[in-house]
Amino acid sequence: MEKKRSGSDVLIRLENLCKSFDNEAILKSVNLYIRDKEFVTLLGPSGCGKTTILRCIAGFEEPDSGDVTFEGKSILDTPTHKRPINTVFQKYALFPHLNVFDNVAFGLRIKKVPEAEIRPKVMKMLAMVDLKGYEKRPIAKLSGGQQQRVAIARALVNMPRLLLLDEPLGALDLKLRKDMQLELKQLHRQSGITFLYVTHDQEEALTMSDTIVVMKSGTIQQIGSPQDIYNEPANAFVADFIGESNIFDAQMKEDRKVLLCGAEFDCVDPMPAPFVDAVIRPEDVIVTKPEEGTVIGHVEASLFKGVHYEMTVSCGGETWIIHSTVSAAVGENIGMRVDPENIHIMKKMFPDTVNRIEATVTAEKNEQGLVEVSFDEKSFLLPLESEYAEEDKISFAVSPEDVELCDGDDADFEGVLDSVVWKGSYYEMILLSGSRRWLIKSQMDEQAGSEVFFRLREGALRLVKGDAK
Amino acid sequence: MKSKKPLIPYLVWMAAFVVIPLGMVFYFAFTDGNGHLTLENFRYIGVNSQVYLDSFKVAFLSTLICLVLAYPLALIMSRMSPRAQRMMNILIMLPMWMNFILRICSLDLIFRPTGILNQLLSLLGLGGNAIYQTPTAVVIGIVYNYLPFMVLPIYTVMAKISRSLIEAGQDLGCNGFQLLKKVIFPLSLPGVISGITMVFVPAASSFVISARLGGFNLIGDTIEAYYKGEIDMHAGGMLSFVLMLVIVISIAVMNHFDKDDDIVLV
Repeated sequence: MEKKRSGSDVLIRLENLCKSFDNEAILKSVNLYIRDKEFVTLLGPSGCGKTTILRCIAGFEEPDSGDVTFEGKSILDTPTHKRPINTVFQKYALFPHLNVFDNVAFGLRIKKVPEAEIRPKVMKMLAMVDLKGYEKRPIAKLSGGQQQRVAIARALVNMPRLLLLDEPLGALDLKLRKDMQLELKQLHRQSGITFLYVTHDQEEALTMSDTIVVMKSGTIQQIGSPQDIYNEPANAFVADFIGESNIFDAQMKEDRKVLLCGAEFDCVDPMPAPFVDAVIRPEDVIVTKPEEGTVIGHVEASLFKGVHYEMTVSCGGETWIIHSTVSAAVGENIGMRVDPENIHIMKKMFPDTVNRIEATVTAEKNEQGLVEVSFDEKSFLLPLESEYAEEDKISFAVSPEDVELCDGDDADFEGVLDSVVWKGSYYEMILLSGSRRWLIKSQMDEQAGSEVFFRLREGALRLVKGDAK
Repeated sequence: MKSKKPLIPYLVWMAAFVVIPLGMVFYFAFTDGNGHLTLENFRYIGVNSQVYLDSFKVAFLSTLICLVLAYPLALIMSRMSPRAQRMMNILIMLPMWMNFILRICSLDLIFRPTGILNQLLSLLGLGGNAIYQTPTAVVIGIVYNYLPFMVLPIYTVMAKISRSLIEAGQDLGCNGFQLLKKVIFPLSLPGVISGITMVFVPAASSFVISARLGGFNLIGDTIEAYYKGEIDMHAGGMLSFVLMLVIVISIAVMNHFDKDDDIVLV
């Protein structure tokens, strides 16, 4: 992945970090560096490995391979309690047998800081997190938000070089979360400590971070500033995960020209491949009179959202989401135009437009004229014209529409959804099954990370031309 | 208002087997043979003061040994795999599936001059053992009998200590020993308190074990004697009353420790 940041004052660096649990790879060779005083957020859906990275840095987990260096020196052999790092835990992990003061003072007391120095430090920190006067309170008598502040104070008072925050605001209600986001950002500025923040909330990441690291199933998808990530997503997954977006299948024949929804749009990107994904943010679609638009759309629905109208518009078989201050009535035809710099072209996550499969003949043609072929430990009987001998290899193509999700009883295969992206009229899914990745188009709304069963429709296995004998 | 009817059987039970017997203990402790109120019975305490002292000494020592043996075991157990934890639980409970008297008689046989322990020691050339019919044998008997009651409450509390609290301790700079002292021990204190209570109380009022293995009477045996042999309900009542009082006071003191966070017991 590209790294636009300069790495002169690197505090911590992850090199080819790999970790698996029960033979399931959680981190797949992660490379990342964090600069001193930076606010870096690891963002991704649950199970993407972001918390595991934190735990490897804190020393709670040992990576299977790779290295964690702190100011250039490996810290893998340094036990947790000797690392200059503190953690704010997801569920706070405050000591229930100690009151607020003693919780915050815990780290300093372990370090044998004189009691006379501890008191002012703790009091200052409690004032900083707005908990003056709460010193003697037992932990159980605090609200969630207050416990959260104690947890932050308890970690920050040690003035670590790096503060790890594991979804620290996850358990708080929306209003409190917004307040705490601002406070954390302020604490970061005041303390001059490097923050590594883990969240699955994209808005939180965009609001707080200097740098966002977007992750999916153990790999880094993109590293960049919030603006970069939002405006120049690296692929459809990032575009879909960050903010609302229209992601379309598009074609390019030359640089700076893209064909989508049956019309040619000008854009500013060069052509990475003939088939690409194009992202258009809902607020970047300009509503015009029908005759002035690049394409004409039919307004299906319109919702007033306060600042803008959210309109669902159908156009060339695709559905567009538009945020516009200009309203159009349902049923009306409108023109739509997009400024070239607001169309973002991305390489497709799946390198091909079809699934390519090489199968082995396991039984020659029978009386009904069916040949048995198998791949991935599953056999199919196919009406093939030519004669084949056992062990012959045949190449097939399976189009994404011909793979369907189904119940376990009717399934040919099972797998895990690696990514699910709405493409205007269908969900584009990438599915991991054994060592194979499948591209699927589906109308079903499934979560990435869920385990699914799927089968091939009748006639899905199509001979690739030139392979037929 | 919730119906209190479901409580009735329990209230009847408590009245019949707790309140009335307790009332009788009080009544006999503070009356003489003619049913007159008297403080005369307090003299039995003086007479038996040595027995009281011995009882509490034996109980204290047994509880201490139980705690020293049980705490590390509970700690190790709480860190085992769930499967191993279940296995250990069964192993610890296993001796309790055998009858109490049977266990004591077995120990008696083992400790006897002709018993297996002596034979083993003779084989090693260490001569006869001096345990039989001594307070040491009694302490061993009590520890053997009540150890599970110390291990299980401590283990139960320890197993519930959240992994993240341990990690928080490490994160804030605790090495292994500091972690034990500053995090694990304070958090396991409720288990320790209930373990101590569950061992000390029955140990202080134990009988049979002392008579059988030690050949002497502890307060439990003395009280039993007052109700069985030359029956003296008043002496028995007074001794029971005082024993109860001491135990209630010790439990109250223990529970006070539980609330006070900074006090370390061992």
